Amino acid sequence: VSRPFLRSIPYEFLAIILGANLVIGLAGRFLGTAIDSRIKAERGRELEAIADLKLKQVTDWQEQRLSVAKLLTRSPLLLGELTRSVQQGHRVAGGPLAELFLDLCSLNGYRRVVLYKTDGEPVLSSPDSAPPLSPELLYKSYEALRKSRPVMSDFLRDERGRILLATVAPILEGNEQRGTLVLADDPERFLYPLIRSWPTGSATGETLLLEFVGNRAVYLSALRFRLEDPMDFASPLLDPRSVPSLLFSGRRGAIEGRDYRGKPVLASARSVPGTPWVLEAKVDQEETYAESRRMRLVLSSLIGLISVGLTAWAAFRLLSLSRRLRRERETLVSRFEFLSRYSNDMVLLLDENWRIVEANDRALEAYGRPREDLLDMRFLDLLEDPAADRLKGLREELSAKDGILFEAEHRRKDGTSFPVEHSLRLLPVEGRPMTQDVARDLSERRKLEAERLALERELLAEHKLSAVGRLAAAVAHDMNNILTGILGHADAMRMRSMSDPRIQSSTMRIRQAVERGARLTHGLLAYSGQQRLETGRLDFAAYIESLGGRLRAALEPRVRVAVSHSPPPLTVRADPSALDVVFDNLAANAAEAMPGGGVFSIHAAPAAGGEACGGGPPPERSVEVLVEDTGSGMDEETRQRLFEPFFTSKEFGSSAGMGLAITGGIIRQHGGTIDVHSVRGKGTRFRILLPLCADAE
Amino acid sequence: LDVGKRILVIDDEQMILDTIKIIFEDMGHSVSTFSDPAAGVAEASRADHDLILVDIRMPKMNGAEVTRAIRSVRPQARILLITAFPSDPLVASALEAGAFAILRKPFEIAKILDMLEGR
Repeated sequence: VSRPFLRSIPYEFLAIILGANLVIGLAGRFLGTAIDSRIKAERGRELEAIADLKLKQVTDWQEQRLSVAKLLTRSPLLLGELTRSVQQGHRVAGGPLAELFLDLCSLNGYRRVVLYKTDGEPVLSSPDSAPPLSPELLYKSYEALRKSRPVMSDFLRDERGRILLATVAPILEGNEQRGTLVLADDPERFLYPLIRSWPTGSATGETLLLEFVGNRAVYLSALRFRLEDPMDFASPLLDPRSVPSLLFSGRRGAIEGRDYRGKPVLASARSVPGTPWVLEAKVDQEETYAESRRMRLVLSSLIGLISVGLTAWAAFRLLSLSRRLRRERETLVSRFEFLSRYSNDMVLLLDENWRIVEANDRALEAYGRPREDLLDMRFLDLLEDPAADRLKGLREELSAKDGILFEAEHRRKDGTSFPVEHSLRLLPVEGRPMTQDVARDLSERRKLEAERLALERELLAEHKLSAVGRLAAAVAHDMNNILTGILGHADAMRMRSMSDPRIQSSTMRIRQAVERGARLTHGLLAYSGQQRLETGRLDFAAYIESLGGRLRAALEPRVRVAVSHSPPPLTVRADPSALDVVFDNLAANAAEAMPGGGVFSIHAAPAAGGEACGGGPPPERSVEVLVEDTGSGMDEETRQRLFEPFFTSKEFGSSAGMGLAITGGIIRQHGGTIDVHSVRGKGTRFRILLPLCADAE
Repeated sequence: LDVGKRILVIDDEQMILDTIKIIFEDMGHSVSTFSDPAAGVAEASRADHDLILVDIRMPKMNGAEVTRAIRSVRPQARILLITAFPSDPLVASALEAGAFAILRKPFEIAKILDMLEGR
């Protein structure tokens, strides 16, 4: 992702989208909680309804059982029969009453119908014989007799351990208590199925009957999640959060607690009137939660969908924004490119932190860097000398002025540097204070300048040369005539006064001065090429050996003269008297550069090639003559101008500054070259190349 | 010292003529000088001279022409060339024409004396 894009992202927009998502999420959570409690309430109401329904069914059944008993014991016809049987006092087998009892069992679902005397002794029992009344039932029969109406017993076990519920009806003749009729019900036949049946398709829904006995809850009906028979299972009221504990403490209606399995359930309970029973309808909270979870899943899916939609919309907006930005940037770039791509100058676009944002091909080429490399750099990194304070105040100056022009050395990737002229100008791009830098690589210009300078110097030298030549030609003739006059008269004086040593000395000095003047004109003519060389084959080895002898005589012992050469033949075409001038000049200069003494050496050896002279073809082979001294050396400016006529320095040019000019002129006339290398304080080395004779015989 | 020699000097430069005339007449020689080469040639053909000094570069006639002209009349004339230019192309043709030596300016009087006595 490019920097401009990152900068252009509307973060406020993103924050709004994020906030919106957060709000949606919170709303979802709130809604989820609301759904939870709503479902719980609904489940609670459902449980209440179920509990109410069950209670009604149980009490209806009780009513029905009681009314059957009432009907049997109030009917005068039957009452007479019952009283008679009791009064006869012994067990009756068969007879119409036994038939009735059997019909009651088969038609009304009783397990056993028994007629008891008031003391609890069975008189008539059907379909099988019965034992005397158990204490609980005896108690119930007294209650029924006392209340003169049938009563219902609690859950009991008969003599064979079977669970039964008995309806006990009094047999009263007026106020006389004659006995009781006990109609024993098998709860499994009707009551238990009634309790067990659950009106909705719930996986954990359960209705049960329980009764508190001491500190335990005894379950009177069979349980959905336990294998025990009814009444065989009881749970201690230890956990205050268990549903039985809550019921024991009197809670009714919708209850949240743990059931006999210890599982969290939602329950609703009713006391069954006229009994110690509690009817409880319950369902696992898990089941209700599952439902709410389903709801929440739907809800969260919905919210997720909305959120995703919103985010997608935002992303789409962002994308189109970025596309627009890119398009804008591309437009900008293409505009910029149009202007700068084919520019002969480097064009850089810098951002407010002097970072390079754009660069044209020329710039990439100049710095030798790939585009992505350059686009990551700071302007300073391009400079040879990255002095940061260079940019300080530059922007202020930029905004104050219309543009700034300055030069700096820049560095290429390969480490080489090149001079650059910058033209900076503020260029606001989309409100950002960018800077446009049109930079020109000055290396070519510098090179051309140097070439021009060299050419100028050469032209000047040539101009000087021809001027000096003309001058020399004009002067030499007259000067030599003048000198002839002077010398002639000096000679005459000398000859006339041979005996006067002072005149002899003076005329000698005049002579010396004239000779020097003659040498100067001679040199001028030689330098300007007015003087023809008298060239011929020259054994250069022999020449420098004799030269060495001559120089030693002149310079030693102050300056040691060392002459060496490679084995002969070293044959050149040269004018030895002209070469004498050359080496005399070099030796004189060297001696002057070594006031405290030193070494002056000349070494000659064949060298390949040689530099072309005066536009001619370079010779195939040359003699390279190295003329070195251990003197004070010279600076660069002196070195460059050394061969110019009339150029003198403190070290060189005791005369008119013609010595080395003449030297150079003579070497040139020989078709050779001369250059000089010097290090201040170390010494100077002249390198002369003279063309070797091709046909060295 | 050998005196009474006749010397002819032809040079367009008056100072050279004067110098040689003064010095050599002082020595007892007779010196005739001509700045005009033609007049000089006429003098040379008119009378015999022990030494004739001829400048190479002169207007109207150069040293080689003068030498040729004199030698055509007096083949035995001893002609000494004098030049201000050490390497003058005319030197070769003048020597060819019969000059016996060349003297570069500035020259020593002693050299001329040597030439004079060389006869």
